[in-house]
Amino acid sequence: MTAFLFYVFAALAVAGGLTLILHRNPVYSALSLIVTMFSLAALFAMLDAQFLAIIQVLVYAGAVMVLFLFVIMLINVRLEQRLPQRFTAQTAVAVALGIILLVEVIQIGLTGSKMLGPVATELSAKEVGRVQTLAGLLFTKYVLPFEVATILLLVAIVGGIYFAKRKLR
Amino acid sequence: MALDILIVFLKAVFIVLTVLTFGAILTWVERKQSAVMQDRIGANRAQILGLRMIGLFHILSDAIKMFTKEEFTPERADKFIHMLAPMLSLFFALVTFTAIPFGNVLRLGGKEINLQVAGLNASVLFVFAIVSLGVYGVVLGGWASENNYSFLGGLRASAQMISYEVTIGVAIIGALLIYNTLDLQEMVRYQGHMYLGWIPRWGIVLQPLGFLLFLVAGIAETKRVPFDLPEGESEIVGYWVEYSSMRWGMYMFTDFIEMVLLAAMTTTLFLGGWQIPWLAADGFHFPWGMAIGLPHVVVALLQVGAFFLKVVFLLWFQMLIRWTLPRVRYDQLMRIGWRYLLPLSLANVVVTAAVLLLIG
Repeated sequence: MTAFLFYVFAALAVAGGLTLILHRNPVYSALSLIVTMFSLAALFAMLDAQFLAIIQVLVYAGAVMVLFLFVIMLINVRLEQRLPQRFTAQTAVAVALGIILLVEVIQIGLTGSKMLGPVATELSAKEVGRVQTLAGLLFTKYVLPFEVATILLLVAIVGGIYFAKRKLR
Repeated sequence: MALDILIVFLKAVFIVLTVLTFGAILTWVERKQSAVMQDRIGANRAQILGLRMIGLFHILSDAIKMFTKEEFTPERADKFIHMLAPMLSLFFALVTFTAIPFGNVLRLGGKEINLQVAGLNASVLFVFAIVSLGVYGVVLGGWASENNYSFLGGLRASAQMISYEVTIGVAIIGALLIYNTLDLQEMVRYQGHMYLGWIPRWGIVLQPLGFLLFLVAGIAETKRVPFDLPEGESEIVGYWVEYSSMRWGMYMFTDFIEMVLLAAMTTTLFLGGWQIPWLAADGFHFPWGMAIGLPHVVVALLQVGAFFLKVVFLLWFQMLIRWTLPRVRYDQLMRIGWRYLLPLSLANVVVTAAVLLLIG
């Protein structure tokens, strides 16, 4: 049952990712990204990471993608046009990084999860995904990275407001 | 294993059928309650063999009408998304009910059944996550119709829903701080105690401001008067203008189901859920020393009944608001949301946290 569900959601995630880059209508691309994020949330939930799964839906599918869709609809992009492709430095870097990532993924697939290091701690699988466990770790052991992340978000918000206000003036 | 799956399935069927029934009856309540409030008679013509049943057959006749009307899709519309959008709306509205506890643990033949379809560790966040997905149904419906008016309606709707989701999320943080859990069933358990033997420890007593903010922002989320700018059947053209027959019916039904959802969430968070004052697991224990012993099944059924009674009360209250207040203007809507409700809910969080810190 679990294996079956895993394959269903994994296939959905991959299909969503493929449609995202292959479909010519930007609205459909955004919708496929939502499908991918939803499938990832389902995979998290199957790994007993309930909180992570819910946050994945709440933040990415529910908030970020709504704004994506909002913008796509507001600027009213219809079908994507094929622009004359030029080979730039950006393309070279993208291809190189893509190949490195692909090699990594294949290697992990071949050697199994051994090289990722030990995952299990003193907590059982059911305990790890609980909100209480996660919150405890975030506010004690990982409090510095957590607070740094909040400052990063604050900087993004201030920057967003600055750009929005500058255009008005 | 098979029995467990069957039990979950039966619970899901029960809650979905109950909610759909509530939604159907609400279409009648909407017309009848407004009629009573405006000194009219209201819907009473539908009849079967001369039997009128105070207009209850209008639910049936409306359903037949909607299913048999022409299903029209505009020529230039995006056919697939136009079809998908109302389904998304209805689907996400219904799925949220899996996390809502409608009763305590029921023991039947040595089996413990938690009267909540999915006992999640963070069920309150689950509800918000799914509700936030409901925006897609509205904004996609407005976009796919290929009509500028419905498109603007969809944008109005999503702007409104996103704005008030912020307030809803912050408004309940105070309550969460007190309950110390994200599990809706645990929250209801917490509300089972009494202060001084007669004041129930319900969220509305501990968090009166949080309750008010949640209810106001929740009504804005359901997109009904006084916050019905996305739809505005009679004056403003809304996101569903290009929809007809049952596809439109799904949108309208979603509104009623969101009303039920708001009532159920308010009950769970602030009105003690399935708790009845002085009712313990073995019967009533009144503070004046009287006690009535009750068997387990009766207690469980009473609690389920209490939950739905509270939901019915809040539905009546929402209808009362809907037919009393005029619609707000769009700038007023945004001002209420961002400049009054949000700062108030933030203040509520700060004050609650400070008080909890002082009490220890």
